[in-house]
Amino acid sequence: MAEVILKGVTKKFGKTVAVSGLDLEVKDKELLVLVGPSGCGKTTTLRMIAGLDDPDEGEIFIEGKSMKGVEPKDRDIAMVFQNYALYPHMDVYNNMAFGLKMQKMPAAEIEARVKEAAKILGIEDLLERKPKALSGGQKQRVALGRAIVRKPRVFLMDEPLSNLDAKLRVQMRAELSRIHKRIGATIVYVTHDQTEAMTMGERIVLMKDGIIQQQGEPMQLYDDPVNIFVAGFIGSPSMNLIDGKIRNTYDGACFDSGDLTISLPEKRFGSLASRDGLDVVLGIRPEHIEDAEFAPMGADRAVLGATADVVEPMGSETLLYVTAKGGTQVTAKVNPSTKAAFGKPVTLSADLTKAHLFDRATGLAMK
Amino acid sequence: MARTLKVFKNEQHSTAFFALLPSFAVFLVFTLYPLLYSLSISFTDAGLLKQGSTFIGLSNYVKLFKDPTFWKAMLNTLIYTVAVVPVANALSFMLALALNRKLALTPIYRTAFFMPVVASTASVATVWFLFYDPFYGGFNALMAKIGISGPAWLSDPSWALAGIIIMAIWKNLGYSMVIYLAGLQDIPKDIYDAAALDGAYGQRLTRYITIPLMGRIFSFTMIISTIRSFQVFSQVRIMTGGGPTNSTLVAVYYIYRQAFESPYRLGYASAAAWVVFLVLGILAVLEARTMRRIEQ
Repeated sequence: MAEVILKGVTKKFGKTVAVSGLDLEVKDKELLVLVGPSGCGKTTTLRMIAGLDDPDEGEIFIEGKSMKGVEPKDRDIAMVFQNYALYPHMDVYNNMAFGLKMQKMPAAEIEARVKEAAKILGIEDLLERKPKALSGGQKQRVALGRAIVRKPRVFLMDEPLSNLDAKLRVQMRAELSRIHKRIGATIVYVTHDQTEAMTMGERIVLMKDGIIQQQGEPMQLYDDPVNIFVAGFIGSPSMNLIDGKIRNTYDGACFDSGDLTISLPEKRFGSLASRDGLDVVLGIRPEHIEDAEFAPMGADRAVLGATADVVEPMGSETLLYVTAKGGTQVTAKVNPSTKAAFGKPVTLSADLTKAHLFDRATGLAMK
Repeated sequence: MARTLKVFKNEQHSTAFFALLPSFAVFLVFTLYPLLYSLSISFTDAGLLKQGSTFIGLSNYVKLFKDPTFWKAMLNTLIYTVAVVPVANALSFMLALALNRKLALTPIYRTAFFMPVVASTASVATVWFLFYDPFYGGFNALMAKIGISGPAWLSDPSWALAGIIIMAIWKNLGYSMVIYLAGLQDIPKDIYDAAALDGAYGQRLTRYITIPLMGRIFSFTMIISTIRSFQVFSQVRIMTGGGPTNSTLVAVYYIYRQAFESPYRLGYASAAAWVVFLVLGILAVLEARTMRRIEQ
């Protein structure tokens, strides 16, 4: 059972706290994604699991054994680096075989393993090439191959797709997921790209400033963000976040931004009677705002008049960037048949049963 | 804005021309002209104290090849080079490896090892001359303490060249060390991290990762230090004057003697200079080719 457990792990670089009191559990054979903006401590966390950096406080366990004082090579882990870190003076075969040679594995077994990994990754015809003769995508596969041949207990991947072009990234994303299922390994995957996290992670851990903000299955973070940061980070385009106050009216609570007044359905938010006057942030994802012309009718929808600033047809949908009354900027993902045009008024309809409310003072979601 | 001259395609060309002009002029006057001049007088009987010269064809070269002293000087230069280049480079690489860490005293050590490179050869040679003194010098005093009676160093024909070589190794350590340090710091940290996970530590890391990645740097320092070794002159002039019995006579010192000591044969010295130049050129090319083959 190759599970990885971090208990109260803290790492400081000088006065900067990179990771603070981190508790994390990676289950056996799980693909866990550590995601967050640059400098959130995700790579540091990965390097500590690898043994390349030592935690200042706390402890790391792999398969229940403390890794205190255990050298990287003795942890039985493999890591894929952002810049691939291939050995430039070795050909592809030797790049993949090097770790096994260091373990003094018999040559025949090394060859069998390298060939097997090369087959999985489709790089059999590249084995004699040096890294400088490879494209970015090929280098990426070799880096992955170098990890696979080791058959480690745990794979650590540090933004392995970030140097690839968009198309190749999508392709490799699917391929990585496939390889994960095929070799059934425990993987800790670091990325700053929320799309990568959502599509690949069986579980996502979202970090900021060295602290875990929320962890759970991708849809859990998407549907129930615990705070404003998670709400804004997960989802693309980002959730619309509008500042305002809660006002109690004769027919229930509503959100009031000064220019916009939106009634807040009780079945979504419960009774807000006691929260009158509270400073809040209303969050609605672009995909929950539709061109009114194509929106279903319903009581739990808010209608919003706005002027279209940018219209981006994506084919399957159209992104609208609009300015509502009072200058509030809103993004909407609408039906591609929309007639919205630059500078023209457009009426939007937001699904309030999917909206979120956050307490502005604490940043936490209001349940 | 300066008006562009018509001979130039555009302003960039004229800027380049005028920027390069001063150094090109210096090269022309102090390198190319003397080079060609020395080639031309190597076929004459030109002398330092003599007016005019006569064309004598290849006589200087024939005489040179028949002069055992010249061959002695070439052999000494070769011994000096073969001893200094590998030893100094191996030691400076080891020093660079040791000093490529962030330890408290690292900057002090780096400076200490680089200081002899900056110091003038003349003053360093004078100090070492005193060290090597068989009766009052530091070396033999140290050796006496452990019960070894030291040689007469610079006045013993079988030890004098060794004395010059030891000093040269010490003086040149820092030069290659600085280049090796720069090369070591150029190796991406990721590669070392990957190697650590692959199980390459200590000597294995040096052997399989660091040394192969330093290939080009090795080529560069080996060739440069071979050239520098062939040019050895000052310490020989100051410490031994080529003696005793020509045991430390090196190529450049031989040339110097022909030209600036009686009978001041400039033409003959130029011929010797050209032969040394060609031998060094061939050596450097061979070395570069070998290094490239090893690299691949």
